[in-house]
Amino acid sequence: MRKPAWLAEVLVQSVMIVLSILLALWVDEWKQHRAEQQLANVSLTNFLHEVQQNEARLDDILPYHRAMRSMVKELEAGHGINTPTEFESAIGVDGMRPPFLLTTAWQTALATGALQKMDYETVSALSLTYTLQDRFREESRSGIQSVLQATNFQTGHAQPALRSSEIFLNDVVTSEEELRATYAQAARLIDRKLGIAPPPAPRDSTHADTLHVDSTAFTPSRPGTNP
Amino acid sequence: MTLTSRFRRAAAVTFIAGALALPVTAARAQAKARPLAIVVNTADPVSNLSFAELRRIFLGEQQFWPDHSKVTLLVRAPTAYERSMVLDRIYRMDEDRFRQYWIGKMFRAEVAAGPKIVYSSEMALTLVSAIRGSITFVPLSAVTPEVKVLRIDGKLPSEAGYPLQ
Repeated sequence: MRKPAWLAEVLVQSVMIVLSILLALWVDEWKQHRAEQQLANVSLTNFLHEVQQNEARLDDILPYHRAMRSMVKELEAGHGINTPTEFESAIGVDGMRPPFLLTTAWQTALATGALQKMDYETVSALSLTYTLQDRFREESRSGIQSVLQATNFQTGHAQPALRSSEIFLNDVVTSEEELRATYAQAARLIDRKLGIAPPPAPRDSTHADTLHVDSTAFTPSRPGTNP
Repeated sequence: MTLTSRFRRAAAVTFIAGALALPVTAARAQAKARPLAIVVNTADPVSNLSFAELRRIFLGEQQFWPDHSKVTLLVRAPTAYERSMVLDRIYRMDEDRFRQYWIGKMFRAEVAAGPKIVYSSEMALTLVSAIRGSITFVPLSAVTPEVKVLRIDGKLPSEAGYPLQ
């Protein structure tokens, strides 16, 4: 018995319709995947900029805090500061404050769901970085409070404030160094995920906006450093 | 108006004008008596700057020395006469504009942070001698051998024509 021609046509058309639907679904899924990948990449790029900015802020403050720590240690050992007024004019408290570190990329990634589009390793590393950053902020806040309490100077002596400042600056410098190392690792990981080759020179000198100064300012042994 | 009342008014105006001018005159006299020295760490590869270069450094427009070490700018806390002089001569700003300037630069991510605060000349000198790449200003009379005094436009603070006298 011969099949009618219309049946074959219906079958072919049905297959074509099913294939078209499947193709449309695949294209839609591909587009969605691409958009998610783009969101993840944009988010990773934001993370990279933020981590680099925070790293630069730590690079900026670390030498200052290290020098302050040494100075406080010497003052404490030398008993050169005896009164609250002397402490205020010699050290102050504002300089001990930690740098302002950004969390915008993390907050944005949480709000947009970009973290869900990233792999486990990246999310885990970023989470660790921002957890350490939070801990640093909290510790700094409580540390500053203890210094301020010590600088209440109800006793009229500066030694408790000096001791408290030294302990605080020790903690701050250690935490800043740890956090800086964490940022460096996070930046390397993000670089790898984004397919960016590691920079040939140290991070802070790649964007060096060098100073053009009088050539007499340089020693003859380093003529090449003069731009 | 009687002659006496005119005289009284003139005397009052003279007194008020004198009172207003007195702090400015006193500050200028103080500044003249105590020129500011721009000092850097002895390891810094610079010993002479033009005034324009000095401004660029203090404005955070130049953040690295020629050897790529970072410039660390130390500035006295408010109310010090040295700070007022630097704000006036180098920044050409008042306190409010100075604050706004650095907030703006940080907001635009042009700098990592603003200048670091120091509370005394002794603190400034101690930190400059400890931090490679640091720069600050202190009265010339406070300078110690642990730091290097920069020539500005080829002149030392004690020489005539030095811009921060």
